[in-house]
Amino acid sequence: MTKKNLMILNRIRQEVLSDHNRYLFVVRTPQIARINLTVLRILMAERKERGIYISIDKPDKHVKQILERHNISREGSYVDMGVQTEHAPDAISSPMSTPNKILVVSGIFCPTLFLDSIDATMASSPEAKERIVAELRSMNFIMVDNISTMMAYNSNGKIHEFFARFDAFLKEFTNLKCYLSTDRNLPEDVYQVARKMVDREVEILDEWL
Amino acid sequence: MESDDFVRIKTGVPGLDEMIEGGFPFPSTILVAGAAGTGKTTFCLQFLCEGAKNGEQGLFFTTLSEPTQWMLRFVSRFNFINKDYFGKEIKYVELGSLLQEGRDYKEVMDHIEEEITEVMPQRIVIDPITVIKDLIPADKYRGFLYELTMRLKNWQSATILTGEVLPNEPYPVEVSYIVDCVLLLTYKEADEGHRRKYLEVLKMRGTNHQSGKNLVDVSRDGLLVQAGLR
Repeated sequence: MTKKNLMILNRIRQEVLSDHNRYLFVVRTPQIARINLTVLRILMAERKERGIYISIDKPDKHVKQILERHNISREGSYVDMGVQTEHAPDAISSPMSTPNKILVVSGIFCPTLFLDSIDATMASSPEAKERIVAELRSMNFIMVDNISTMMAYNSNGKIHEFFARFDAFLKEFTNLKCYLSTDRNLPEDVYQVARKMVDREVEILDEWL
Repeated sequence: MESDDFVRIKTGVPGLDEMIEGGFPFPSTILVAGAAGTGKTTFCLQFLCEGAKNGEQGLFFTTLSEPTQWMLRFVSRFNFINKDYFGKEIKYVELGSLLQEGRDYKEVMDHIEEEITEVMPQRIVIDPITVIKDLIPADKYRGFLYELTMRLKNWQSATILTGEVLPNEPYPVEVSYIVDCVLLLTYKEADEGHRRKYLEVLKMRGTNHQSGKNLVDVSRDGLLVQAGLR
């Protein structure tokens, strides 16, 4: 790791990540990947947490490569939601029974499809519901990378719908700390909804970087 | 998708951003092609220095075996160069020795990825990419380029690949297919017997770009595109 990246890591660890439950990182677009990876490194490689990483438009096999390159995780479940619009795939099904694993969900419509998939699995049978609830309760965090990119593929209405459902999801699974990221150019109405959902907003200033 | 949804980053080359709706799409891969002396490396340095001004990390991979000091000696004459950037905001990585040792192209790709992992750059340059063609079996070259550009774009950076233009080709065709943007730097002899330089945007995905050859001035301030001046 370069000295500069180490400084950012230390700063995020010491100054940013605390006892809050829901974070919104506001950072210039070219730096979003760097910040998210740094947070993932702290959560998974240092704190050994388990979680869900939602990637909007990075293909899942490439996310896997990046996580492995950064020694963040060599074990994980990778689900590509693709561009399915008809129904959510029955994809959130493989149990994550070993520690320090990550469930990566990728696809341009994946935020809502991910929630649809959870709902579909819960509705399919009591056993399936029990299993997925236990799975979700065993995890520590969920990260959405990132809201600005979501805007490129979804209407404002869809984004608002996602936030409403995501908020309800997080209220049901309070064990999950939530990490959202966006650039500074989010439309005001979307920004306000995101801002209301979180309890800590962190603006990553250029001088940090 | 409206162009407003595209994030764009400034190229660092005055006059060019206005031709391409404000800058390069981000992330993207860009081929800057041209014969020797047309300004490809200068273009790349302006691009990286622009990022460095905004706190962005840059990686400059050279496939020539040129140590940093020698490279800096020539480019330090440009006003836009801040020598303090090198080693900090801009890391210069020499791949030439790996290539000369006859390493497999997969090792070269791994080395590139290791550097990217360490630095986490927002801007990357590989100058020139076409040298690697000699290392790779002909039937595997396009696959290699595709894999390389996917990995680069997946990292979420803007990457410039420079390509040498050979006498019998307009631009490196295999590379042009797999990148998002193609810029061509050319010479043309003017009436007075001087050579003038031109820049043309041949391809830029998702962008309503100006087409045609545009005059390029080169001075101590680097390249400057006189957009619209033919």
